[in-house]
Amino acid sequence: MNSYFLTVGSFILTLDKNLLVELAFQLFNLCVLCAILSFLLYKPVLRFMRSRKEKIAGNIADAEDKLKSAQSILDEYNERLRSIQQERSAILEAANREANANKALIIEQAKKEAADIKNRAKLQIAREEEKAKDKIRLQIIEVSSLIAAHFVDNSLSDDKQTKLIEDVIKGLGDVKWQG
Amino acid sequence: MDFGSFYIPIKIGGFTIRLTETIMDTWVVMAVLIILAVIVRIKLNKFTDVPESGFQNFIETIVESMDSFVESNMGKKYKYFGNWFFGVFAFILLSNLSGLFGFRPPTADLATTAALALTTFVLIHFMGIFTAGKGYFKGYLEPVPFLLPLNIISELATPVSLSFRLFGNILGGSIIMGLIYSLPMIVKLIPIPAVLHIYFDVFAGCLQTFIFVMLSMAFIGDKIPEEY
Repeated sequence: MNSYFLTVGSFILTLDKNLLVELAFQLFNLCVLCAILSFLLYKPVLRFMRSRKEKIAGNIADAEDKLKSAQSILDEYNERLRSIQQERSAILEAANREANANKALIIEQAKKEAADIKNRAKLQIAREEEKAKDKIRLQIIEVSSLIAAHFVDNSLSDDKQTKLIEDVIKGLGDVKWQG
Repeated sequence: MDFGSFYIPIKIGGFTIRLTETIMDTWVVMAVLIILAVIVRIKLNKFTDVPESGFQNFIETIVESMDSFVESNMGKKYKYFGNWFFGVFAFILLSNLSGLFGFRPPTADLATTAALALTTFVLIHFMGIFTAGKGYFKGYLEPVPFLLPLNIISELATPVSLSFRLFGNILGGSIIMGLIYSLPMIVKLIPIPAVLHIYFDVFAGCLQTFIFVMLSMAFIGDKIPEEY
């Protein structure tokens, strides 16, 4: 191999003080190189990767927390939904009960009202019956009076006529109304 | 043919030190890595949470790989060793690959590999004392005090084996490539050098980088008790 700088000698292996001096040189060079590489390359890159790792771990933990939080919100909403359904069932049941109670009350009131109407109608009928009876009685009286007058004109005195009329009326009081 | 590292002698005071090709190539490797680091630092502000550029993907992949590699070998508590091993890994890898660009790999010099192994050696024993305290030295007397010399030799062999393994492999590749390039032009026209570069610089370079870093982590990790 050719040298690329001015030389006055060469060696492959010398075990003398020069080796120690060169060893010290190389030791110094090595320490300097390691310090510089550590300061400029190894540590900063390692720090960068570590911070990225922590950031990713933080993001994962954050995502897990958010997932847990979302799960708890979901559970809460499901629980609320369940309680709303229970509440709805209770409300419906209460409304049914109330409606049934109202229905019974209305039916009872309707029955009562119907009974009242019926009673009033019966009373009215009885009154009308009385009225009719009185009217018929008066008409009978009139008719009887006419008949009697006509008959009396032909055969009876006034007193006899009157007595006869009264007897007829008494007899009419026992006749049963057929209306 | 000369496969050695060339040097310029420089006189400072009464001393003469060698400014070697290895040191100058090391500066080139350092410059490339520092420029890359500066580019990353500038572009880091534009990095997105979801990587959109290949560059961001590449940087994140190597940094994350090193971080998880250190964690699996040394435990979570000692992840900060990644700062050191990332520099070592990048330096050895780029040094080994520099042969592709015509440089003499800095790792083909014992001074470089010995410096690397020495740091591992210091870290091994520092961690041993740091975690076990005074009890650490008692370990050298186990299983029997008679084996103390063997234990010491075994410990000293670690940096020697680490440094010479890397040095030998990379130097061997450099020498073979040098021999290939010294052959007549006709041999260089066929793609033999390219194939050998792929093997010696890329394959062996990456493999030796991985082996050095892996063994260093394993040796240091051995000194850390299980409870850590």
